[in-house]
Amino acid sequence: MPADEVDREDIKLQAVLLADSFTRTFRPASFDKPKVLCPLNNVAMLDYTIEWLASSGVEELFVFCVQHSDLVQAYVQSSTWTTAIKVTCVKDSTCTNPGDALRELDKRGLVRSDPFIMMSGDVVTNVDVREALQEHKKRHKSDSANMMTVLMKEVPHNSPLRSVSDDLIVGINSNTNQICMFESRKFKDSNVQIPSSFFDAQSNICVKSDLLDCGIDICSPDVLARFSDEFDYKDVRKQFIRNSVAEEEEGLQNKIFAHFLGSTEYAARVHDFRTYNAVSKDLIRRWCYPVVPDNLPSGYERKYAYEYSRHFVYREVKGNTVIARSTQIKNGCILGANANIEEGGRVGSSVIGNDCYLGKNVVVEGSHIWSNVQIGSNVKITQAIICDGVKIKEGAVISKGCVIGSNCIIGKGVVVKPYSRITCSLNTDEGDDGDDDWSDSEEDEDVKEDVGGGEFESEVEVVGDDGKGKLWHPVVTEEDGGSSDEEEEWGEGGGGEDWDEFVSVESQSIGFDVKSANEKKIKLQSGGGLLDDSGVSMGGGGGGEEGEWGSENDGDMFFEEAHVVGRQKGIDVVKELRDLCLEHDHNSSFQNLAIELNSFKFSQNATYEDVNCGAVLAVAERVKETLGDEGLASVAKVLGALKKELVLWTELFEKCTPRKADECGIIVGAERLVCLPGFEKFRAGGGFRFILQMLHDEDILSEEAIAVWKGRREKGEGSKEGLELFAEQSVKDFLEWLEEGDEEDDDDSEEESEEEEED
Amino acid sequence: MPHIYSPTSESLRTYLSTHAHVLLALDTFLLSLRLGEFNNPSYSDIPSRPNEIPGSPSFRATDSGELKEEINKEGRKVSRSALTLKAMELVRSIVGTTKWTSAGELLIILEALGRLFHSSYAKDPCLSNTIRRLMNLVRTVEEDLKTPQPTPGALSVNTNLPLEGNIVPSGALSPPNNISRSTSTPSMTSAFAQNSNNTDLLYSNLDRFRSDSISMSETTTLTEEGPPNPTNVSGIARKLPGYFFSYKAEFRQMVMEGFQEVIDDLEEGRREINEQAGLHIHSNEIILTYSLSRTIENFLLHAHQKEKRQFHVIIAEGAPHFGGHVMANKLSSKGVRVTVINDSAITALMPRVNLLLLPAHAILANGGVVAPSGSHLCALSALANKVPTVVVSSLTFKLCPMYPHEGQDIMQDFVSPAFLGVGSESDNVDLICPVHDYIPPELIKLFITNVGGVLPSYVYRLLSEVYCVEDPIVFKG
Repeated sequence: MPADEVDREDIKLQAVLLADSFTRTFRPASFDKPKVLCPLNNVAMLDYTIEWLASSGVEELFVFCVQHSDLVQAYVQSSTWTTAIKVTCVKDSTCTNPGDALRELDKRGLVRSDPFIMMSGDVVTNVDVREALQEHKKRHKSDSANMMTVLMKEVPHNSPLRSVSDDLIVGINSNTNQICMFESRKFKDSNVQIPSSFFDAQSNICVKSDLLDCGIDICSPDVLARFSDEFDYKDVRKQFIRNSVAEEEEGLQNKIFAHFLGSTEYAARVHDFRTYNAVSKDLIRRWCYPVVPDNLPSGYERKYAYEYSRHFVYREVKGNTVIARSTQIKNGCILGANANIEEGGRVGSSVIGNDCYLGKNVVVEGSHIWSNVQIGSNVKITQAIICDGVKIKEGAVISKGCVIGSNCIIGKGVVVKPYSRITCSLNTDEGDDGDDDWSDSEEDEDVKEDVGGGEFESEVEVVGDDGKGKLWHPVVTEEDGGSSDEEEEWGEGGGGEDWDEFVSVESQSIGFDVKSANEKKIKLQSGGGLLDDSGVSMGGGGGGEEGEWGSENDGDMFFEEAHVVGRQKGIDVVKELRDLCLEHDHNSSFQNLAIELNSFKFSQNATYEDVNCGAVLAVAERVKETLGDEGLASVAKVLGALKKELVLWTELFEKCTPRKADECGIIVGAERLVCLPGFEKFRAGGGFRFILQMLHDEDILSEEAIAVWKGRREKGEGSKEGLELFAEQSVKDFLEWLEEGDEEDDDDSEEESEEEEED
Repeated sequence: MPHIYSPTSESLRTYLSTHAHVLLALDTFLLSLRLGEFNNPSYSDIPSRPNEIPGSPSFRATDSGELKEEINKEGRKVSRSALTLKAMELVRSIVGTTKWTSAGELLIILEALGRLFHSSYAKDPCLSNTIRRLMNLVRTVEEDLKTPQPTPGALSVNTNLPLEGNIVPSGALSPPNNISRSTSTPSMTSAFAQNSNNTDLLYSNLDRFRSDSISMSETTTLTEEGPPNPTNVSGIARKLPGYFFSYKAEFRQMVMEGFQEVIDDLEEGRREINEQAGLHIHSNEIILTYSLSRTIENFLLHAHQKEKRQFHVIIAEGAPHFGGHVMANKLSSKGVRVTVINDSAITALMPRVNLLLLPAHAILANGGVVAPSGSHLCALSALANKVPTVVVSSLTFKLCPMYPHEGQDIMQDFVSPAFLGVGSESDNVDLICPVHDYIPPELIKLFITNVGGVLPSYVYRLLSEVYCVEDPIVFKG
């Protein structure tokens, strides 16, 4: 139909903007206004996207709004955007996910241009999309199954723009850029599965884990139709793209391609507060040039003008911004119109909104303060988000990761704990399971309940006597009937089973250190054993203070099943080491054996502890051989034989314990020894305790090593048998005796604590 | 029919509201200034874009020969002359289609446009220069028209002001003595250093002035009769004399002709520069140039092809945008002998060089030059080696009436640090990528311009020929 084609060419370029992210990662800020209207560097996020779309040549835009749709519509209508783009609001409050939204759009038949751009309202970008549009057109012409192009950017794996919990792995045919795998890896998985069928169809697959999904897609209208067909698709990425690329059957395939951004092009999505902060920083540091704070979108330039000065400081110059002389402004700041900052303050890496007042000696670091905020003197704010109209009274401290919702009041001298989210909106849904932020119908019910419940009650212990606001907890989603769906929706930032609710909130807050989280992740994936020694700190207190973040328990879950990188699969390293030791001839020197063990240790990425453990087990085998069944019955005989043998091996132990902690392997070996078949009687006679004592007496084991081992067992680490042995009274007695022996010259205080611990 | 009274973007929008297509063209242009094809450092070799996508409003063909070709060929990488041309065409379409009635109103429109461009992140001074040039043109035409007109008619013309019905309510009017408040403004000897804030005052009082000009037509008539003596009239009246708001039949025609002349000037500029190539480039010379410049490229090609000079060009690559690579390809494909060097080797090579040619982003009133970052280094090195530094540039839109201490925001821009090719591994590292350098006049031997060779010390004289001192130096507001 040539006539038809001509018509299509004539249709103006259209775009669909999803003004709702269908998640609740932006709560409590999103209680009062939709996320897309939240200010990012003093400009509503929606303005960045619309400005970009207009400059990309889009002439007609449909803004699809669900939650707070009236606010979005009012904003769109009142805005003085450029005439170059026609903006229409499409409202539907019944949609609960992007899939519904696309089905609704399909039903209304508004989108006619081929292709059209689909993007989410929280994307900031400077991409020149025209090249991608042309590529898409060409592809679509050659095969109508080529219906979608996804824009992607290569970023460092550790980039703060990437989701921590949701590690995107994309398989791409490097000849055609066709996507053939689109998986997101959960936090603790190290494996992804690639269907083998792709190796037949695609010749040159490149699997990348350093891609950032920009949230901008170029689609043919068929995509909408496809959503209507597949009525249960909820998410574009997790379901549509993933299933489409995994579809094997010829003829049913929707081929999806990737377009990679150039090195100077930037695109990022604001998923949550953490990425909000990261994107803001990038804009301030001009990574998204020409989208920089001193280049305001259409409409803003009539009211505001920012001037750039050294060290990435942007000041509003049209309004009456007053900054006291002694205030230090440094390191990437934006100061909004009519901001008033009193003497002695310090503002670093922060964004201050319009009409804000900061009292004397206020310290603001790495934070975002929206407009109309009043801050009393001596307040300290670190890595927090302070929404519109908040009042913070003198001397209060807002710790890192906090979000203070609009119009809250933080009382005098109150210290707000890290990662708290405070709101005073009646519009919350606390205690109400199965609510949907995005679903008006359900939310209405919530609102009614809350309003019916009466006045807003502040939590005095959180915000102080003179404060206003209460702590907001994210609702745990599993309770609801549709838990699987909920999990999907959470998925973006949260993490289902591995990540408890608190941790997911943390990972979505400013101040969360992605780099160390990733390091931890890699450690977890490569085996828990390494965790203890290095003591990875996650830079964010689980309970409040800085400290270990879910450390030991997390580690333990994976202690046993973990596969050590660089080790042959299915190999029992300790057993192999034991066999090596058994082969050793007493006549040759231990030097040779040590070399042999060492090389094996390296080849399998084992530790000295493993080596020592293996050696003890080898000794056990020998003793078993020499004593025979009768001999094993006598505790004293076994001990004597062990002593004789172990003393011989001292030389090896010395060679294999570069650190005192490595001697723990000897104890672990002893643990396993007494559990060996044949040693039951020995064990029953308190043999383990005697071995410990003997090892200690013979100076094979140092006290430090015993202390390390004890520490681990106290935390509940180790095999089941090991813990049982540790719990034996005789062992406890021995340890206590050991402790006392130490404390003859030491203080008594430790003894007390020791006793407490043993209770 | 709406009229325009103050040079703000709102009033310009209201004024253009009946001309939807003009407003659309304006908005599209502003967008492309902000985020689109014009917002690129002009010296960078940002990946060139494929051809136009049909239906995109970004670039529609213009109707002038050579430059138009350049636009199409180069895709998104637009030369600054093309940008200027595009802006000129836009201004011409606005001026040509709307129904302004007097020179005064036209000046307000132009100033409003200047402010719009400025607020739309137009870091490029060529836009404000163009506007200023056009404003000067309007003034000249108006002055020319005024002289032959018999002055006694002025009073009647004034009372027939088309603006009559649209003046602000008389209650808000100030008494006549208010007019004299600006007499403290110094006379125009130092007008270039004058604070542009005065213009705000001017225009906020403009409505008042105009209403006064009717009520006090006596004063106005006096001005027109008497010789233009700046001291005996009030500041506002001096800025825009009353006859500027009178209708003159042939004015529109003459202004449009003038606009065409300015556009022609733009295109002529390059040819006139090229004609001097034979005078400055001699055979067997070694010429050093920095990064990419179309003016220098054409200049060298002219010397090579038309004047048959054999010379050797050393091009510093101009990291991190590497415009020098593009330049080298262009020149060598036409048979010029080219050597490309890294920027850090400039001092090493300088002793062999006979002539340093530099492009200009803007030429300032003191004879200094804003040039691609790295040029200052070249000029310093040339000075140390007694190599003459010559700036090749057209004056038509690069000549700025400001001194280096003014308009700081126009003279520097920082583009994405992604150009540096390193990621920000640590938060403690600041990455910046400034685009321009300022070269002081002492380092420059000569300007080769469309009006011939000019010494840096002479530049300020040229200003008064193209700009009117009363127009704003920076279009702020």
